[in-house]
Amino acid sequence: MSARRLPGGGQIDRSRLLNFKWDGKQYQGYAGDTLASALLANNQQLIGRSFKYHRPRGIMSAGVEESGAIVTTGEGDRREPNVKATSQELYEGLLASGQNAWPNVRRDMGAVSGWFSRFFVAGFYYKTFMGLPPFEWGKGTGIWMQYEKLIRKAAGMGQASREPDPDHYDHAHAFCDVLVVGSGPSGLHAALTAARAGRDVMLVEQDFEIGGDYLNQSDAALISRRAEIIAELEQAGVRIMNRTTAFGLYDYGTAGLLERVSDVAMAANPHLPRQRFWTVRAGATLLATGALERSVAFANNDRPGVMTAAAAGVYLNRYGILPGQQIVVATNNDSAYTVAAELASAGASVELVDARAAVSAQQREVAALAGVQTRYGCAPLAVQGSKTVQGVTLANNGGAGWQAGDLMQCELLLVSGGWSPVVNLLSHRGIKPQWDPAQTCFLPVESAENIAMAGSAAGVWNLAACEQSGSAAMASLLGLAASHRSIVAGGWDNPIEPLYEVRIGEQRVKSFVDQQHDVTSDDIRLAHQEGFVSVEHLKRYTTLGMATDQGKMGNVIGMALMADALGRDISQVGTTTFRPPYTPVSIGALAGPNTGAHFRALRRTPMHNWNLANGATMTEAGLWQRSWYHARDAETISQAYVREAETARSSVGICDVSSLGKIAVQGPDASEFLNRVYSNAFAKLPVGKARYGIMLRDDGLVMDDGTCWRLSENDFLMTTTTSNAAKVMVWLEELLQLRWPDLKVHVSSVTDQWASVSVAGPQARAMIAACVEASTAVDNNSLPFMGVRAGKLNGGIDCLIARISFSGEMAFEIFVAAGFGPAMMELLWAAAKPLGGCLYGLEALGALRIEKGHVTGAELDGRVTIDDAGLGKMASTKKSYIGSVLRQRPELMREDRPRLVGIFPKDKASTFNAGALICQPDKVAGFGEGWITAVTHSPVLGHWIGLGYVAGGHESWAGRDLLATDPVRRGNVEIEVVSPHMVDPKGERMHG
Amino acid sequence: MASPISALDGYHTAEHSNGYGRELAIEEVTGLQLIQVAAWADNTDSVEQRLVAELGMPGIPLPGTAVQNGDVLLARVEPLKWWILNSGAEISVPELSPTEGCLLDLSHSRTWLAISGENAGSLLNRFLPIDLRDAVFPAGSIATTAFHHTGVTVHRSADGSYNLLLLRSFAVSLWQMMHETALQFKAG
Repeated sequence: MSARRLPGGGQIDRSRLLNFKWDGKQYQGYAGDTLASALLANNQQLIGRSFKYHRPRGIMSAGVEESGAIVTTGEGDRREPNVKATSQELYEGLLASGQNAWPNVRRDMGAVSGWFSRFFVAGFYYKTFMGLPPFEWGKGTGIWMQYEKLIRKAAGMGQASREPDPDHYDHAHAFCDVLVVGSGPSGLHAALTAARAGRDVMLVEQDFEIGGDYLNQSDAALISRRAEIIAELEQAGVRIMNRTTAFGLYDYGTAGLLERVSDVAMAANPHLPRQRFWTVRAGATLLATGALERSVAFANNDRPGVMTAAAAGVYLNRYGILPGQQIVVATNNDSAYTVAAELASAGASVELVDARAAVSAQQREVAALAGVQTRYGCAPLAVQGSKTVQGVTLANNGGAGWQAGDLMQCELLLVSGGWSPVVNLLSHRGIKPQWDPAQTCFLPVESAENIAMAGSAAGVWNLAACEQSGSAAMASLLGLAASHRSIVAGGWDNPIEPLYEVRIGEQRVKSFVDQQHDVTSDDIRLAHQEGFVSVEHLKRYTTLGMATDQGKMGNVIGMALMADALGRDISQVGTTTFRPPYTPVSIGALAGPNTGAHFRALRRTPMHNWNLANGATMTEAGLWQRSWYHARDAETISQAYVREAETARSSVGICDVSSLGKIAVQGPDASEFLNRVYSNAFAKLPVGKARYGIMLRDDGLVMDDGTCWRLSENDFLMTTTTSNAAKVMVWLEELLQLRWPDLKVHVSSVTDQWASVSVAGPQARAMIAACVEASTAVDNNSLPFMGVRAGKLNGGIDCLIARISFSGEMAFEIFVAAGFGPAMMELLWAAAKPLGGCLYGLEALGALRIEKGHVTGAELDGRVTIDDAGLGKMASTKKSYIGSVLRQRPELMREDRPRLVGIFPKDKASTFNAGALICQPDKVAGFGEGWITAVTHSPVLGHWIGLGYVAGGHESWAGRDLLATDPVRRGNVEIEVVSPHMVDPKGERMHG
Repeated sequence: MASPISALDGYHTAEHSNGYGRELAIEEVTGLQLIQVAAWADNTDSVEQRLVAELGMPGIPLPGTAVQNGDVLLARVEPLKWWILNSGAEISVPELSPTEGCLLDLSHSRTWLAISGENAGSLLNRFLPIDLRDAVFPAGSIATTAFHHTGVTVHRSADGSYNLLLLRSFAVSLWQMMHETALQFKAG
């Protein structure tokens, strides 16, 4: 092949030379080139190796349907495999290399697999799962586990980088009245019609240039028309997006778009994303997605130097490249005649072979005027040459099948086997296209949604008709006055001759149906022989039209061969479902900006920065960032939390508890509402008092716990666990809206309104007294256990103080408006330091509550009754509340249910893990007798302790040995179960 | 008297506000006063009329809209709830008896960002899945929507700019995302 750049012509910018590397060698192209056109201009023919057989492959097309020139671009962390050279825009410094080959695509050792190709037929690897006969018959797939590695290494595409992706990606939402997909003649006219009607239009084009088939024309008038339309669209405010692929259509006018933002212009703005994932919601969608030219199955139809006829026209007219000097054009339809004539006019020697017996004089004249020699009633039978095209053996249609004919010398074979409208996006909406035997293609059918198709996507084959089709389809879609004549499919002077495969008799050759997956016509027949009669089964067995191809090139030929084998029409066989994405979407684009620190939106307490400035190490608690521990000097986490817990027990500790859920419950019926929600009594809770409450689900199991503060007659402040805040809020809303709409109650989340701390320890009261204004008394009379009062911290900061303890110590919770959180911490910390106090984090908080036997989310895991948690006495017997009936189911009242217990190691120097099962020593099996929910070192007791659940509770196991079994991590540890109230069981410290 | 500290303290600075090119500015509105007014199903009209009258509003805020008097906005955020949003000097809000409804101070629960410039809508639609086109979301519109799976409130000002109310605890995280994305609008 002797492809070369012509001295003039094309839509490229010849004033901008671009340097790029292909397989380590430096080449040049022009702005406006694709990688494929630049390679072709440099006469590079062998670009890839095939998926399974490692056959040499060249450039087969000029678009996203490419199956041969599939390469890897970039290097290091920007290496991207499986890039179609035909749609990769050329840019300065582009690096590209061949893939699926060693050492390179020109000399690929993997090509030896072609010698064994008769063993690698369709579904060969499925058969290997059955075991290697006769050694493994009936025994499974032992040997597969070994040769799987070889198969995986030999097959496949390129290799992705193992390094983190250095680029960032974007998400975006857009809305429009009309979305037009495709900017060819029909798309541009459709957009123009909508814009002139005053609609808000988005026009998206996967190419880097707007214009579609206008770009491939040699007629200067058409080139000008394109520019004029674009100018008018821009003037009308149409949002025109090039480098943007509509990869999927979804419910209610939603389209997924992938915009390639800075693949080319990476250096222009380092903050630009590489790609942007758009979710577009359109009132109506017009698909002007064009059509793809099909090949024909014949021997060696995949050789470098075989490409579609239209692609040659694209390279000639858009990129100014003559793709070969000695060319044979094989066709079964009129479309190839213009290409043949243009190539001949550009200086190539062109012969055209037409499978049809004859065409009109007008059509013959198109060829003759350009000096193209024509033959009729013949088609390509076999390509000669191993890595390039040396010639093509023709087959003549003698009426009773094909017969071998002449050998024609050529270096480039262009094939046009007909056109397949790109119906993929419509297929995403569950609409099956219908086979049109006259046009030999699947055509779209009408959609019940606001979606229409136009142009060659609707089977319209000439440019002027495509323009009219776009206008007419848009007018119809928008319900505009019928000023546009609707256009029907068709448009050629001479009917197309169905042609899918050319072979003589039962000859077995490598004629490819789906080049991307190395699926041959014999594979299709083999699948049929093995009983695969459904196209969906055929697809999965042979991989025809799977993965990135999604049936773009091979489907129609495959369906035709299947229909032939079944003795049916293609219309009876049908087609497979084209699924999104139309072209691949990178994982990075799907993730968008939601990676790393932005994987989830993090919640920070009002004192977050203050905590960090005061030595906090943070940990995640759901979405919240919470202080884990405040290490001093070189303390480890264990040393820090033990010190913090000891300090809280001996002096005073301050802990940021702002993440607790907080809900305002307001209204004249608020107390009645709470009385129905909580299992214990709330109706008579006095103003200025708080109460610990347990709320159950309808099924009688515990939902959440917390305190509720009565601030006034009609105002309550409910606290929830951090993890259940949203769940409880939604639950309360549901109850009010659906069950008790008669109650005059409003609930509102105030979690973000308040900054809150827990101050715990024997010095807590003294410390707080130093921080409040004189009018805010915190003595035992003014603020007894479970008392609540409003007051002021020094500096006039309004606050709420409640005397509540989850640590077993004299403890208070102080709430201030969130903006004053840091100021509160400054005050409290300044008062705590002289008392030897400390800041403590989540780890010490856990240690204190485990010592006290207070339950939290780890214990209230959705399987637990209020009795299991040891809180059954709280549940009222005098009122009805959520869960009050079903909690009394016999299963939930069984005495041998797991009950909350404390856990000690027998050997006080040993430890055990949360999550371990609790078993009897002689019955280490199954789920055992219970499980461990939380563990810590107890500063008070001086050894490891835990909380957990054991069948029947601690009384049932007094004096009996048990094991904490943790076979994966720790093995068995001897334990004893005790009361969960391991420190100060009478609450003397807490009540102070 | 201590001063309240913004959730974005130490993060968002004046330098950030205008650091995204000529067509985009993000500014924090501090000193937010946000009072939630909730009525009962049988008296929404009377409460609404009181609010409109006492706040001097030009009309009734229909669902999805806010009315404005100077620095004070009155928005209908739920069927039975309104928000009084004030960016100026603190105002007193109408008292309600328990039978009329209830008031709730949420002033510290939100971080208020004002986003202006030609690219403001584009920036917001990088995150917000709602239609912000002029014809659909004109000046005075208000909506609760989602920003990275968290609830936010967005309001369109009379000058076409946007007010975005973020839950305080998420404010830094969401601001960081918005800041990083906003940089792409900076030319060059």
